[in-house]
Amino acid sequence: MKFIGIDVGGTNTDAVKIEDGIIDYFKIPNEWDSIIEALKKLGDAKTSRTVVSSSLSLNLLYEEKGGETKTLIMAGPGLNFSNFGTNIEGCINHRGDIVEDIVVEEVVGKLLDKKDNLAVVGKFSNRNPSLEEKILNIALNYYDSTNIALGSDIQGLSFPRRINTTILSAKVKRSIVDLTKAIENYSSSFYYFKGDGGIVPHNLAIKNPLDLVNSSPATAALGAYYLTGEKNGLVIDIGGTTTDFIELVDGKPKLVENIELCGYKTLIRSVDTWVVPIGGDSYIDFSSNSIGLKRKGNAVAFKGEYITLTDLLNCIGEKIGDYNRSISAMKMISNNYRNLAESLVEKAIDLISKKSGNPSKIICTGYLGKYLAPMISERLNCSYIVPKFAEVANAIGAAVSRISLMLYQRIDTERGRIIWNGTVERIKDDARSLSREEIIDIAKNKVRSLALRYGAVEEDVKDVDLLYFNSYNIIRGWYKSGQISDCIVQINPGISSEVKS
Amino acid sequence: MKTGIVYHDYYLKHEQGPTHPERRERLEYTIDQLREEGILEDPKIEIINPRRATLEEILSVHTTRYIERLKSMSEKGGIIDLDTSVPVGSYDSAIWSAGGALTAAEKVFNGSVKNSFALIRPPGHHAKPDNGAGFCYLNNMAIMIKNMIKRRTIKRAAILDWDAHHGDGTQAIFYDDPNVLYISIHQDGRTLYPGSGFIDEIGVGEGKGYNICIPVLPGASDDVYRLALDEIYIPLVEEFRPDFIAISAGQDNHFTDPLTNLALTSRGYAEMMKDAVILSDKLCKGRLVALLEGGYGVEGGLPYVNLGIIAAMADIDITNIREPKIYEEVLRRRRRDVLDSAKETVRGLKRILKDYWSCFR
Repeated sequence: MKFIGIDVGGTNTDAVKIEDGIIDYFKIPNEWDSIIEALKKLGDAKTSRTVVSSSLSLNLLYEEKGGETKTLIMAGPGLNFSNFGTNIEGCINHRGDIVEDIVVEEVVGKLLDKKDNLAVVGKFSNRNPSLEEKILNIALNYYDSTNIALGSDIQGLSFPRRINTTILSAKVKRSIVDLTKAIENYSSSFYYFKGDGGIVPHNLAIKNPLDLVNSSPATAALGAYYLTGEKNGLVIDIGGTTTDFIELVDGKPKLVENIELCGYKTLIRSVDTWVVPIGGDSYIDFSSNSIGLKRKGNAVAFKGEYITLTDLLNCIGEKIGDYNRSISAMKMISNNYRNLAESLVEKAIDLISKKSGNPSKIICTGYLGKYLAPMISERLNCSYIVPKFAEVANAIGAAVSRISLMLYQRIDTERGRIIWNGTVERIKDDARSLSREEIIDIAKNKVRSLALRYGAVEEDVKDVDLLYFNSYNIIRGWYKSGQISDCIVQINPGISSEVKS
Repeated sequence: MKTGIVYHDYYLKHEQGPTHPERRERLEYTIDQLREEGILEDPKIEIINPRRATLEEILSVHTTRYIERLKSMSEKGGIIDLDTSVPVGSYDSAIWSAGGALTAAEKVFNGSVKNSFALIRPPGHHAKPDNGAGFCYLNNMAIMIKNMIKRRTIKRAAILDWDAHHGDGTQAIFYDDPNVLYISIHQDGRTLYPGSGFIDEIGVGEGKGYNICIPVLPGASDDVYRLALDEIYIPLVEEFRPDFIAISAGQDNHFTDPLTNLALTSRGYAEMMKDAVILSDKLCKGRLVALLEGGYGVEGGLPYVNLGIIAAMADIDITNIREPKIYEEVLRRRRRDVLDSAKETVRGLKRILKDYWSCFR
């Protein structure tokens, strides 16, 4: 089995192929279709397991190119959310019952004011998607399905966060669909790398494209672990444009719930990552002798026009790219170019170290990882590791990761309903009371069967973690009439056993 | 400044029996609703962790003999009255609940929050110094007030007890106390437990005139409560000039409550709380604490009522606080036009109280 990982970074698209433990890779400069270029070059993507990590969705949001979103909300009774969108009739209550229906004429009326894409979100819609689905059916007369996002595809409670997440989802959905179609020509079944460090089949990612946010730092963490076997430490991924920080805990990236994205408070879960806008391509601002916190183009060593951090490193003894070009360029700036380069590199190290906290060990990856690691570790007074293939650790992380899934399960035996990630199914009415163990087993079996269906291997779905459990009885008139239970389980991100063997 | 919500999963633990109405389900839907509304992370809200009440704090209200009895029953299981059993571990639940009330007041007086709502269980307003009753073990409200006075944090407190049941325990504890104005609006004692709380129960000794009972007839809705607040509660509290306003927030006058016969709506609750907040702003720098008491309309009532109360306390828009439309029929069937009788009660009360309060002369 061949494992292919493709990572689209800020500067380059990296592709790796791992076969029988042997790593092969290449880098190509970023173009809008560089993933396709990489797949063409790899040639045999159809017979491999292919994983793509792309920051496309995130970039679209950062660059505010997601278009205008029409937001229909069903706030029902409770707080007033009219500043989040256009409120319409319809309400699901906390039990997941429809307590107020939609009014078709009203929905049609509101849809006439058309925007680029559409977000439809109801309070508690994750407990019953049927009203949103009704609206979807009407909206398909006005919008293409690739421009409509539903709140019920997003799990967890918090109506304002679900609205925000659905809006962002509506903005990026189209781009992920287009990318997916393009990739499908070269690899019919491929996976996307998620921001939580796991992978999902491409058709699932389309449903909730924001799962892909922060996938790049997540791949760095997985790649660092795979390449070093180090279970704990701070991964510092120094790429062309940015330096990302991720904590590795027990061989997994540290995760955080409900991240804020482009000023929106969301229900997205991803690696706990932070960033400084410094990378090999950061241009040097000689007017103030400082590191310019953005990319203007390639380093001089790579035929660029602006002197960058990479060129500075060449002036203090490194040999990256055409290092003589770097030195000649710096000589034009200063006679004492070596000292100047040294002091500017110090400044970059300063900026990176300040954001590193107090780690006991750092693992440096990315294009500049091996050059800067000794200086950063000295500054932080900690040990460092630079793995072989550090420059493509992201793509390696993508290639070796396993399917990870999170399942939100709610069982309401009085209503005879079981809800798995927003999808409602019936259960037998006589299942009045389930033990804690039975409830957890139902959830674990479900998440395992889903993962297997998505292509996971048995070995990878053995460990399922219980993240949350709550259950209580429903009493009506001194009689027990049912039981409600909530539980969240997850197959943890990690290295796929297929790669290990 | 923020509104505090005192809450801990610990308040879900206590259950008298597998089907007893005072059960964890009472809070589960409310917590779901609050999470979904985003209120638990609203910048205007602060979630406060409670503590246990100390023995000394409890003994400022209850007798040593009762507490010893309650503790020993709580070890093996026991029974106080037909409605109130003492399952194993109840004492611990009860001191967490009383501690929640104390924490709520402490956070208000140390300036961490402007006001606070303690979502505590078990409730307390039927508990008397020497006995528990009606689902209550320790009188959370009295323990909070007595200790705040004892510590000289406050001198004078005004309690509004809007639980559907008369708060006979709290009344008994402060019956002779002129520093605590106790005003209870409840379903007429001839039609509901505990059968007390008539207009002539006005206090004894120095406390005479500081205990006010406003019984209302079954079917009473928002208009009746509006009248009681406008005609009795607000003028009395303005004249009393408390340095602290406390509310025994029983949510069982809601029209979906299965144990009572009143017909208040969640919007009605929110409006009442809004009035109390305005009073507290006017009289005591906004210092107000609400303690959860009863309330058993778990599905159609509590989530919306508690949300409305919190929104009103935190000055969040309450214009959309209401029940889902499927409950309109329930309200229509439950509501009675008893405003005239309420007006009669108000007139009677004013006659009795005019010797003690200039606002009624």
